[in-house]
Amino acid sequence: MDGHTLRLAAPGFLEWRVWDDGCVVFNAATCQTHYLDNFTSYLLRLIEAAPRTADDLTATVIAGLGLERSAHMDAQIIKALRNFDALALVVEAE
Amino acid sequence: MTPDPLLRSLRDPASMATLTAVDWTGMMQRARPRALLGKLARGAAEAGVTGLLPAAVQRQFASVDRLCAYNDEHLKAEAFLTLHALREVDTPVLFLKGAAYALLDLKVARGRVSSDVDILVPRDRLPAVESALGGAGWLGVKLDAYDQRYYREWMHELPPLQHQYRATVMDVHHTILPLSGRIRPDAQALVRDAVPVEVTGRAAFVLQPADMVIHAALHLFQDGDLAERLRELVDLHELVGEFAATDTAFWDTLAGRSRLHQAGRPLYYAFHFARRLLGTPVPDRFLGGLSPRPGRVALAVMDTLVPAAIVPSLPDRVPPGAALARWLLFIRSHWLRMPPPLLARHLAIKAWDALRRRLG
Amino acid sequence: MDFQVLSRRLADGVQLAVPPFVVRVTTSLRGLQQSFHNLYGEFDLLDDGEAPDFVIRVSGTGGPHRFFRRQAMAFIDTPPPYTPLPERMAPIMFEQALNWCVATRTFTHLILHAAVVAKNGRAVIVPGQSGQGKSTLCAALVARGWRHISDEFALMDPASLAITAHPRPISLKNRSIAVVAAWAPDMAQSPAYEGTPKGTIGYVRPSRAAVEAAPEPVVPVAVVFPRFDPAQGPAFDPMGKAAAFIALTACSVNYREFGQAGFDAIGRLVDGNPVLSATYPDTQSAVALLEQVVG
Repeated sequence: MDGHTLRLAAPGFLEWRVWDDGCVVFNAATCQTHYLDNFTSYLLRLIEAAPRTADDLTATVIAGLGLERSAHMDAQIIKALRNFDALALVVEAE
Repeated sequence: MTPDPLLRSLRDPASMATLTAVDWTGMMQRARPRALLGKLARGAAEAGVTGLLPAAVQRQFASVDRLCAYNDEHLKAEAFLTLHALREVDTPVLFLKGAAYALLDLKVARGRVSSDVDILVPRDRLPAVESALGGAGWLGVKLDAYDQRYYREWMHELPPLQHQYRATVMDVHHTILPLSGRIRPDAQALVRDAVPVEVTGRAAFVLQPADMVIHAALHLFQDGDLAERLRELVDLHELVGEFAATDTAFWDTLAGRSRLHQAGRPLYYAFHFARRLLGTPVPDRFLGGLSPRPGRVALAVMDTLVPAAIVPSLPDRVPPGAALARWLLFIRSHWLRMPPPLLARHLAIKAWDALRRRLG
Repeated sequence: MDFQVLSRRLADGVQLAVPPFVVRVTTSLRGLQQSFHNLYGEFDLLDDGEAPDFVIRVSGTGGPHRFFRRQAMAFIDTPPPYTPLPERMAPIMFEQALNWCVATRTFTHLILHAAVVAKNGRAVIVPGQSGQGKSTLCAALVARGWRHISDEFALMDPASLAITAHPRPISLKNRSIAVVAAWAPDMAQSPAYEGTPKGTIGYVRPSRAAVEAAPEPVVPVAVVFPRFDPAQGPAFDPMGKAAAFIALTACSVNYREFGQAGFDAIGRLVDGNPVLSATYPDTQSAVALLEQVVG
């Protein structure tokens, strides 16, 4: 997954509800509702806005949130991307 | 015109406007467990009589309409999830039955409530497909060693898979009839002549229309016991209604494919009874041209057994004739699935298992 | 209605209006007939010209058990997912069967596992699995003049969020039977059925007012998750909207079947109404908290 560009598996099928304590997203392509914490939802919304690689995603998060890159952050991002893949939310772009 | 309100309502939905409360009480109890309520609801809506029906019937029809609409969305969603799970396996994926009807938006898809997913892949891709599906959470239901072996050696599909979170059940086929039976459909031709279909941006396949009809007929008359399975005959009725209306060569194509798949006899039964029970417009030329056809005696026996067995009964009032017909057809279905020595062994092992469980 | 008449009609099968449904009930079991006379005494019997939504027959079971321990079973058109109970618990068997029919066959409404009560037309949804106090709270409020809309299922229209009333005997378990009896000595209760799979169960008889008001839908003004804790409260704790969304979908029995319409409905419900967690040590303070909510 690392070097590949990721995109939404079904662009245009996501419906969001965003609140302070997290958000929920309905994926009409899979009829599934997912709960995402704020950080994870931020990642998915970045991919929704434009397909990108994991490295690109990390760089955007660092710049956007004013954080330092850390092994913990890398692990969190990789974990989130694995979950997105398992839920058929994202795929590797061809 | 048939006096049974259920058959009459399926043939002529406008007649539902004349049913009494007693008719409805009995008919809904027979229709719902056999997944026919959605068909009745759709029939009433198309005939424009829903507003004339009793309030309770309108409520139940509105509920089953929602359930059927969800089922349609669910099957499309499961097809999408299946292709996502199989995206790295080099194989064509064919969706069968309900999933195919939903993906093609066929008339038969509306008013259906069955939610299982059926796919077909070439036999040599089964190990890769099974492993990729397992990785995505579709796990085999627990079977003992004998049942496992029975499936792998003699069946046309893997043991059923169930998704660990969504609980959806999936059958993975490599052909459309058990390998142990006498009829051998041409599995390669099923895949070779499949029709492409788009699933939310991904490419998949469905059987070509004639093969789809043959699959439904084989499933009902060659691979099943027919008991209370009127819904499947209604599916066939609606499938050919739509295909024949859009393709004037449909019946000729179907006759040709039936020779390829050795499906003359089950197709004959399917359309003989669809015509008799549901009034399906089947050309005589088509029925007359099927080969092989059931013999005169066999047909006379089936003429007695099938209508009694296939039409659902009230749950606590099964007429003795229907019970007997269902039992005889159950034995017939086992005979057709397996040659006798194998059948004897299978039944013996099943009996031994049952005995062992009882002695515990 | 006279018991003899009711008993004869029940033996043949009778159409009972349990708003918004019509249920055809058939039973020859004397105990169940008596329980009907009590718990459904304020409901309307319809004539046989009315088609039913659901058909339920409760009878004794056959088999070797019947000689030493008589059992009752509720039959519907499919094999039900529950097992027989001793015959004296036939009323529980019936309630269980009707709950099952409503929960698995109703898709005209988004159903939440919740009690719904209203004061001056302002309705509160009180969600919760059994044992969390929603029925106790429901009975306590109804005893103080609140409208009894439902003690088990909130039937919500996914477009308007209006709730259709489904008043039924309020099911009380174990300690709450005595709590409600002490709180409202005048409220009619069934005998207590001891030794059921869920402990002791008793029912509160719905009032005529609840049945007559049933055709009138209500719009919720708040969602309150109840939490009985003898050592805490009374206190309100506003829930986060995302947490409330998840809790509500978890207590819906048919959220999945509504697809995006269900997602939108629950989203609008939590966006448009306060969602609170209420912790209380006793009935008195619970009722006071709810009075405050509808203010």
